[in-house]
Amino acid sequence: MAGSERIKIMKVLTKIIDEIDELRENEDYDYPAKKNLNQCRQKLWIMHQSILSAELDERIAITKAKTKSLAKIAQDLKAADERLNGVAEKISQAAKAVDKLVEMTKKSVELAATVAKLATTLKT
Amino acid sequence: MKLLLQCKIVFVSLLLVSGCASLTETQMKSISTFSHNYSKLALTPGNIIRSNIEVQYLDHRLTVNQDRLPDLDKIRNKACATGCDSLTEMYNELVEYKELQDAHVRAAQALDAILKPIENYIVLLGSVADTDYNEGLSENSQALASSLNAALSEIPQNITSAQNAINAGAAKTTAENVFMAKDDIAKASSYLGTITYWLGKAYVRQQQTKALKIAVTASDPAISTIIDDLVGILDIYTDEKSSIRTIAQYKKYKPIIKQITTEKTLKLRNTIGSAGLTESSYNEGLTSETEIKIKLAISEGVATKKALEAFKKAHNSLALSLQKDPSGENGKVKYADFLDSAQTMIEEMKEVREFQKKLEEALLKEKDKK
Repeated sequence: MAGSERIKIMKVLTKIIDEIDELRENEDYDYPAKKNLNQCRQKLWIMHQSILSAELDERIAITKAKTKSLAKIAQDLKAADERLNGVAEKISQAAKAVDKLVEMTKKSVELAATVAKLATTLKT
Repeated sequence: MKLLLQCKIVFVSLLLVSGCASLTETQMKSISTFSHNYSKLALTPGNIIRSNIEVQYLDHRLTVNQDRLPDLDKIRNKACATGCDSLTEMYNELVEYKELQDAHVRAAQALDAILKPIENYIVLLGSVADTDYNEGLSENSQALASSLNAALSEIPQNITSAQNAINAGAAKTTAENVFMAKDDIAKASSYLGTITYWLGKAYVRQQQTKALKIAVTASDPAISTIIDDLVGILDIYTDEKSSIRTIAQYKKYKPIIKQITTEKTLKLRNTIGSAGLTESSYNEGLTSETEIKIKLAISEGVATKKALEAFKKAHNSLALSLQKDPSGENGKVKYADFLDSAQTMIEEMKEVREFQKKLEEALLKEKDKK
């Protein structure tokens, strides 16, 4: 049953239930008559609630299906998050690499200084 | 050579991306705050269905006490043993009510669960927009700059002897070369830390913007239809004009008949009392406590709808601002819309929270009474 049809039926049932409620208040009706009205109302109410439940189930299932695309996007975002953390890590590695480079250069300068010292000694 | 190559690759890639349009730090922070605010308050659209169940069952003779779920079959068998057909019929009805009640409870849980994927997505969006990456970057570049300075501070001491050699006029060329090398390193090092930081920051920002743009643009149509669906479901319960008898029309609920106070009913009362069932507001109709709860549930439903709509609008403005150049004029206008809607969302959510709190208090009060 389509959603719009369910809504139409629920509207009709609501109207009937409301009418019954009014009849129930009529003092002229005797107990058996009211009892019958009540039984009728109960059945209609169960029908109404069943239709409402079906309508909810269908709408929720449709909406739930739409959330699947969000799950995929969330996965991609998680990957991007990890990638960005990786970038920070790479920069950290670059910093360490430059650190080593400076250390090597420092040693080269020391070596050059030693060579210069040696050259001075040799000349004198 | 390997080290030099590693550095070169990182810096060249950083240079290549540094010129692309990115979100500003303030924009990033506001996306992060938006995410934080959304995920802080768990919306429970299912509450309105739960409250509706309560109202619907007021119309009926019996309600299954959810705290003391009875073994309905046992009761039915007991009723059958007494040979009382009408009792059996009532028990059968009770079973039917219970099944319906359970179906609606499941629907309420499913409705709440629909928001979970949105929440997960928003939390991740906030995580990507978080400025923590740049803070880490700052730490790294600071570490780099300090290590460079430490290394360079040692060099002059080590080449004092070379300076002496120059003063002595000996091996001048070699010693001058040493100083030239030292000067070059000193110049490079003074900028290296700063360059690493700024380029790294630009690169990270650009990558963040790219990731956010892809995610927000792709998810916006889905978010929009999901919210529309949820609002449509909430409308069933909160719109008085819907003419579908739900909680919204609670004022129409009238006390149930008083006629069935016969011997059979008394028997039934005794039986159900011993089986852990409670009579609902039998002969009472709407009590003032129930009416308060209903009003709060409807208000919460209406506020939830507004909060969801504000969230949808904020997300849509964010998507539009990211589709344009975020730093361009159009992007800025859409970004301002995003901030406005995000603020509205926060206010609506505060309202939802207030109603939730009041509802919780009302329920606790009722529990204490029992």
